[in-house]
Amino acid sequence: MALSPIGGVGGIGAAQLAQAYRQQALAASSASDAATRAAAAGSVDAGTAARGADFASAIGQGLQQVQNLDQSAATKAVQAATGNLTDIHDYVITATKAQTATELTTTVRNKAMDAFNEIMRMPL
Amino acid sequence: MFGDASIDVLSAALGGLAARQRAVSDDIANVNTPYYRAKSVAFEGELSQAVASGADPASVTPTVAQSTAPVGLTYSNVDLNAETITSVNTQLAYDLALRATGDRFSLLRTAAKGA
Amino acid sequence: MSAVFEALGISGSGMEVHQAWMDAISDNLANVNTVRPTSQAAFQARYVVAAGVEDGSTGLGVTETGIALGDPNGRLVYSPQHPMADSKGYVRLPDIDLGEQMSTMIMAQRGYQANISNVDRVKETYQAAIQMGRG
Repeated sequence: MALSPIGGVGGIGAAQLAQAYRQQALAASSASDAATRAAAAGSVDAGTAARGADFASAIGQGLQQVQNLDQSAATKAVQAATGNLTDIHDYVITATKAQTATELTTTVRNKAMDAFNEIMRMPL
Repeated sequence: MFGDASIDVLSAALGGLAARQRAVSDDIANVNTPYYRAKSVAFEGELSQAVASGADPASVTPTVAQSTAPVGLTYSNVDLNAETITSVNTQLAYDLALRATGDRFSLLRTAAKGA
Repeated sequence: MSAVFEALGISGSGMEVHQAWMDAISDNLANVNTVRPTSQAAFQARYVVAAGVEDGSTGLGVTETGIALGDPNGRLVYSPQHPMADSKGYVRLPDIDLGEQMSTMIMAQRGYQANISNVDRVKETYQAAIQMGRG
């Protein structure tokens, strides 16, 4: 199953990001299954390595988005402190976005790590 | 990430707002004191400049100015309406700055816990 | 001052102007029977002139642009025993209608109270926004 890199186009929501991560994680782990069997049979699927790299770059893009949200939240916080904020919900919404995105990305990364560890523990 | 400047700016703002709240309380207490001049606290302008020029926000100290409206033997120059509005405004701004400071720290904590 | 809580300043301006209005009406009522000789102008009623502060969008409140004075001629009342009466026995009393002043006082008071309760409502709104998405 061919995996496509996530993101690249601006405006992808965090929920869709999470959805796509889940699908890719499942696909990656099922691809790893096939790879393990193939390795046991003596041959390694070269495509698996490429899919692994796609997943890593997807995580990387998610982290970049979190970084950007964190930066906007910090800027808005400074504006609020110096009295230059126009609307209060401006700051609150940005801060909530940053918080949620951080929690989401952290959880997704943890799940990915757990999935990876589980795969590695599989007896061959 | 503790080099995050926003926490220092927020901390300076909280100090300025607390000073303003004290000034308002003093004014309201002295609303009937003869010859009493109302006080006002300014810090936002200086803080904005410090942020723009990259200076240390902790160097910004709030400045207290006295109102030049007339005073007399039977009256101070405290404008009770204006002081009430300032008090509400300052309290809300303080809540907002506290919230913002809390948010910065909880972001750090979320990232730290996940590790 | 934090511009983000602008609605507070706007209500504050409403409170200032209505207070000035109440002060003017109180002054008129206090002087409703102030007698002056016919050689001088009568006590003139004070009217607060207010104008909206425009900023091209939602406005910035109200401001007092001046005080208008009432009729300087007042009412001529025949009162020959009065120490200030002129040769014909008349004195000047202000042209202030007690009933009209009392009803405008009620309007001014209502306006002042409306601005005060608006401050409370606006404060609740901002507080709710600050608590949004917490925890």
